[in-house]
Amino acid sequence: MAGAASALFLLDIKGRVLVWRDYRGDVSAVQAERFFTKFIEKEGDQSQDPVVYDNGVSYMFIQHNNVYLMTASRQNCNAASHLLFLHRVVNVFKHYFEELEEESLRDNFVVVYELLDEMMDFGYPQYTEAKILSEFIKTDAYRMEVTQRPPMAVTNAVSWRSEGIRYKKNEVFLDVVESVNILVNSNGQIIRSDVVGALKMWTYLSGMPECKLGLNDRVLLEAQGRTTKGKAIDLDDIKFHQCVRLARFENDRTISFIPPDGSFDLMTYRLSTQVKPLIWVEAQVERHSKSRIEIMVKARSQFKERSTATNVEIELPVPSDATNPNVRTSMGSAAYAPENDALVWKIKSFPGGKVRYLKIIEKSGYQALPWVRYITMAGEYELRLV
Amino acid sequence: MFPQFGATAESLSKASSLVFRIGTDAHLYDDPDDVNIAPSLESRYDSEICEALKRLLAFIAQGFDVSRFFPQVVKNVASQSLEVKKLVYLYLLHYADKRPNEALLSINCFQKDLSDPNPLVRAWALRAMAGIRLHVIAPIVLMAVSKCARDPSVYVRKCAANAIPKLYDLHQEENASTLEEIVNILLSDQSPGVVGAAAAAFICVCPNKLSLLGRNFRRLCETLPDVEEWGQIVLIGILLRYVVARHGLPRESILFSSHSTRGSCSEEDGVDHAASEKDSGNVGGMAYESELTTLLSRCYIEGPDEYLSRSGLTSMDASGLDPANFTSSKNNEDVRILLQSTSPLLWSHNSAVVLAAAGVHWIMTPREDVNRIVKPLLFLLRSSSASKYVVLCNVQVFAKAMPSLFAPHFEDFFISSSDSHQIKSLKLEILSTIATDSSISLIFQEFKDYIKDPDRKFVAATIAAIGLCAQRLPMTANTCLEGLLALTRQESLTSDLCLMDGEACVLAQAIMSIKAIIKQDPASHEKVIIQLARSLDSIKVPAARAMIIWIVGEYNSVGQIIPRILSTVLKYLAWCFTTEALETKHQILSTVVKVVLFAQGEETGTFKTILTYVLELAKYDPNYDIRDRARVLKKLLSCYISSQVLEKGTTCHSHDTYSQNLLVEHIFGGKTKLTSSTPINDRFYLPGSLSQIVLHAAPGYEPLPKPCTLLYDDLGQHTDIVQGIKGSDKGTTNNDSFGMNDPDTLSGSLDEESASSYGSQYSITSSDKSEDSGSASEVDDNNDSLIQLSDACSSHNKPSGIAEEDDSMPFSDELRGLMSKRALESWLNEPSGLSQVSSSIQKVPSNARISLRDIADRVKPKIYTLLDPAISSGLRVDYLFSSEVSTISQLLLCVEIFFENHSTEPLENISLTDEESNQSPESANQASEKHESSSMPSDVPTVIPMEEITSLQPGQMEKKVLQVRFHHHLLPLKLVIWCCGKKHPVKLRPDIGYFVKPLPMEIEAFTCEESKLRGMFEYTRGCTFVDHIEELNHEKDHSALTKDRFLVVCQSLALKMLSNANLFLVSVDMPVAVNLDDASGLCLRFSCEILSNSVPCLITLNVKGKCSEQLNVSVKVNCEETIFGLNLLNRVVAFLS
Repeated sequence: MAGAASALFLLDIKGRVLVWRDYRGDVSAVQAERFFTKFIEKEGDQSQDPVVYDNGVSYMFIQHNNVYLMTASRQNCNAASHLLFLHRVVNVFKHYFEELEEESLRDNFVVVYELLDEMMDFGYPQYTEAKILSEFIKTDAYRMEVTQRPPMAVTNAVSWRSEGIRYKKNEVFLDVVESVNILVNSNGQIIRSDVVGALKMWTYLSGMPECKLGLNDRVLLEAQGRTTKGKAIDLDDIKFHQCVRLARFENDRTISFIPPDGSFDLMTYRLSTQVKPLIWVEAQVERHSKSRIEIMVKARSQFKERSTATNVEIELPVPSDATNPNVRTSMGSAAYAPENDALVWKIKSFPGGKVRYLKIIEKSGYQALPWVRYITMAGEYELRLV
Repeated sequence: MFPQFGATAESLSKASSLVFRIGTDAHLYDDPDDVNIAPSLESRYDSEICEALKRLLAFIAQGFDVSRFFPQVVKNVASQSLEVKKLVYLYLLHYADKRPNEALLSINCFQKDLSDPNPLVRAWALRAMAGIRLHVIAPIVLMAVSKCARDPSVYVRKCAANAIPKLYDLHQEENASTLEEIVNILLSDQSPGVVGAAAAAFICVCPNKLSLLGRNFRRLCETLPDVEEWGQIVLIGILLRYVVARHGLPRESILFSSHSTRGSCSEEDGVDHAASEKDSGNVGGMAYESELTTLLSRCYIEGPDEYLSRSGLTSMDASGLDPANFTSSKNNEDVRILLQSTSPLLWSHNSAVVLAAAGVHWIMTPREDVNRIVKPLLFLLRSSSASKYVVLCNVQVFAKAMPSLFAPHFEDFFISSSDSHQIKSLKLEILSTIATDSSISLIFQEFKDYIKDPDRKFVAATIAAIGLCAQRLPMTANTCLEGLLALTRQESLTSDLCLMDGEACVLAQAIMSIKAIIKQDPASHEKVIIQLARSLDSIKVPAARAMIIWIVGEYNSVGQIIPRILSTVLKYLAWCFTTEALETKHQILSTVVKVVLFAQGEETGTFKTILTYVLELAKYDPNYDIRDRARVLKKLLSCYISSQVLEKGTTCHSHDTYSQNLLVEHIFGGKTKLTSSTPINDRFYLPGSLSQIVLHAAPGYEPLPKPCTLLYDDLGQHTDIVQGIKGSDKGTTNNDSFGMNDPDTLSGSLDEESASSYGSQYSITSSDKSEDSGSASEVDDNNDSLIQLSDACSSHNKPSGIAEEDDSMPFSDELRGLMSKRALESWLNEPSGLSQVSSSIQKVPSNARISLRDIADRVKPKIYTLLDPAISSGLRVDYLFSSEVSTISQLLLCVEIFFENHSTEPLENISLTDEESNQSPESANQASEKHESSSMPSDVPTVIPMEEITSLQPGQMEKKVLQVRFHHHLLPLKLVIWCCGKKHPVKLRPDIGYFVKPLPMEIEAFTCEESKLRGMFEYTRGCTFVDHIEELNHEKDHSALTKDRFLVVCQSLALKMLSNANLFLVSVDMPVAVNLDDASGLCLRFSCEILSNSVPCLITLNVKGKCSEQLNVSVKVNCEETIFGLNLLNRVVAFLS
């Protein structure tokens, strides 16, 4: 069930190996490259099957910008864990190089090797948190302070936080980032809508603080015997960061944790409540002749006047053989982008779950300032028009 | 981002420095060759070495071979800089298996690093060392791992756990038992981080040794939430396997409840489902579901390939599982704990963990609780598209087995335009399995949108899904049909204009779905068939046409109207036959035949005419297949066709025609069979596994263990062992405990090699028995000259020596001296009376030292065959390793070579040379070998040339001494024997026992040296020794005078040692014990020094057991050169046992 990866490859868009790390020596780079280039050629631009079995080797890959990340394995393994691992690799690289692309890999290939060495051992994923890794693997700028000990994080019972952190000013920032997913069918009915939210935390706290987070969770409020007049929400689909004591949450639904230092996603949740789409789009299609088509699109905002939406993007799918577009807009600007065919939408400010309190308890008893703000954005936002 | 930026000033500065450093290594990658690498590797400055190493890494990344720098790079392993070390490790691991000899040079550095005070250095050293894939060093890595498994640092212990799979991979089964023990120790580690890595090691080394978990099970469950995420995934799998093996599958779980308690589940299901169950059609669905879950559970336990192949022979046996193999998830404590500890993990951040936890609940949890996995799984659909695909693959299985689980959440499987093709088709399949009567209308609404999608492949898949929905929910069949018919009309219209591939496939799929729906209840869909027949005119896609024609033929006698339109349809078909595509022609032929067969009434004649006409056309068809078919049909149907021509003449061959009729009806009439339940042969693999996604067993896939195969006895037994180990840990040193527990611990690759290479050896001692015994009887006569007993402890005037000798047995000097003296006296004078004396000194063992003289005369080194006379026209070449030491170089070994002529003719011009010296252009690797050897520190030739033997007469034997330098103490040397102008390639196998020379020393010096070489430099292995038994038996037969048994044992041991290795016998200590037969405590010490570098090497044999029986000998080697020491140890053990 838990087979290990034989090797990890970073390939360019044509499937050539940029960097590879061999873990078990039973899959060669040549073999993998040959397979992958053929695979890409065959599949063309179509979306590919992320798990492919070829000649005794299973390849799993994801694409990020102009780089493919791929693991190869000769054993039966946990596909989900390998794919997730690749995503973590992307995150770690992003943390180190700001952006993961062919160029940045070239620029930092030594660090890439070091990271790959530390993130996977003999094909088993190890530390994949950028926070912890950056204590191991310093980039040039930090090179002066080469660690002489393994970081506390790896030896601690609390693996995500080192001891002895000091800040003059103790602060916590909490961002509630919610993304709205809406699917509207061609009749204009909202057939699916939900909100996926993430509590992003930035902690600058000294020592080993013990934090507790209270949310307007209906189950908890009812358990405490409080009235829940529509303000509470049903938290049922949740995922917590590793630092949250899951067993405790299971027992009494309090979210208690020792936060890692710096930024992290404390939890993500999903609310399947009916959400009114903030921007409504209508379209009329007129066929002028066999080769000419006119589409008129109207967008209407449905939120309060005092809040404004920024960075709204509407993508209108057109047939792939469309040419020579003639665009007129009354507001903003529009351009023909032949490579896209999806509808992306960005909206700001939308009321969602509320943080009731955030308590921080540390032995030394310092004052810490919690800051909370709310951001809403659109996730998968799809309106079928025609 | 924040208005409060002041607080984050520090992090900002870090960020800016991050930006600044980007691109620093780019020039190295793009142009790694612009500086001379070799000199900078030798540089005194770490920064320059770093630079050079980075350039090398750039070469590696771009696929160039830079292994030529290996020696220089390896030197830097000793660097103090962690950064250099790390880069060297990266390089080393990449090339170690290509350059084994140089890689070995680094081992001593690793050894040093392993005892570094900095845990980071220890861990890295261990990791790098374990990563070197060389068989030779496996024993050392094993030592290091077992040592590091008890390291105080968590990080090091974790690295030790990670090293185990590497070692196992390298060594395979040889050391499995030792590794298992280490895994067991690590599994009981207190730190969750170590446990996770240990779990991975467990699954690699001994996935079926679930008894190891017995003691730890509860603790492992408790630590599960704290284990790091990747470890959690592995650990969940192991715990699940354990519970299944230990307790079996829970009776209440989804996998069983559906067939055992089918009645009760209707209450548990959702309202809509319960309502629909009253419908007759859905009972069939339920039966199908239960059959499926049975299959699922069988697949999980046996693996689908095994199960399906078996079930192909026997019928599906629903209740095939032994009821005793079930457990209860409510009452069983272990099951409950497992479920309890995995349920918080459903909230994990890591989608693979969620999936693994969901898998456990799917299999183990009671049916009514299984709901809790639904929402976490659906949440995973919000992650990346690749993970989404994997999750959907698993959800699909869950949904198939229990549609009611996901039925309320059908909206989550609605497709969005950004989904990839695979995801779309998976979602469609799931939607069609979970659709209920209440949700179907919404789903259809959704499907209508999909049909407008420009991706025609997707549209075709949607139409297939509609067909499936209609089959599952017969209530909706009519709606579906209407929609599909409307679609076909529309499609056929558009397909007139432009016939794209996609459209054709959509249309064909639509007809296929219609066909499937009609099949369920042909009678009620009569009108649909007619409509289809009418549309034949407009539909141009061959596949669709063929299918419609099939439908007409198949249901030609259904209802009232169809028979009436048949003649028109057939006429039309006959008319257009020639213009049709191949597949359509086939269908026209069979349809016409079917109609003729079932035709009744006045139209029969018309049909027969049409048949004859069509067959005539087919006979001249360009396609051979059609022509053949026409011919066969014509023969078969001769009676039908002919009956039209000669109305009543058929009676004469009625007999023939009857059987023909039967045959024809059998071929074309077998339609009415309602294929109600298609055999399910889906393959199911455990949730989360790769195999489930690629749908075949990937290498290494293991189904769940057989339920209840793990018994209490296994557990108990193992617990004892564990405790035993724990106990021994405290008492003795680590090395000892491993050596004692498992005699095979240190069997390196040498064992294999010795098995093959020493197979042909024969020793003089064994072949010349008579001579040997003669000398033994000679020895008997002057017994006291051979053995000289001296009381080791009686020397009262040298108390310091005593303290050095035996610090393991702290007795007061006087007492020991006294006792041993008395014991010795009695032993010397009257051996039989010893028992009386010893009764007073019971339980206090004492030692006496004996010295064996003259033994050197009896040492007979083993002779190996170099060249067999059978191969080489009569020349026999044997060799033995001489104890002489070369005068030319310390790297050379002296080998005595015996040339003997077994043929009848004299042999001429015999010489023995190095393989490389005859310059043959054929092999390029010789040159590289030469290059390699020249890079070695000294330029000593491989073979000092031997003078040629000009002539060897028949029966004559000639002895020559050859000085040879082996490249490695395990690898054979390739030589060439020239004889009469012919070339015979031979292999000279090294014997590590002769890579040393005797190092004379006193016992005091020995113990002093030994005390310096403890810890990493000490290795122990056990073996058994039986040679002396033969000798003793021999004695008994021949001489009345019984020689002392002890002496025989000592002699045979010493002889064996000295005959197989070039050693110096330092001392022989023997116990003076109660029992004369008890040889325990006998201790032989040997010393030697390694030829090449004069490093001393000490060997100690400790004997246990009875003289007359097989003895257990524990061999201990103390040597600074770890690899050499270990291999020597292996060799000693090999020749002793």
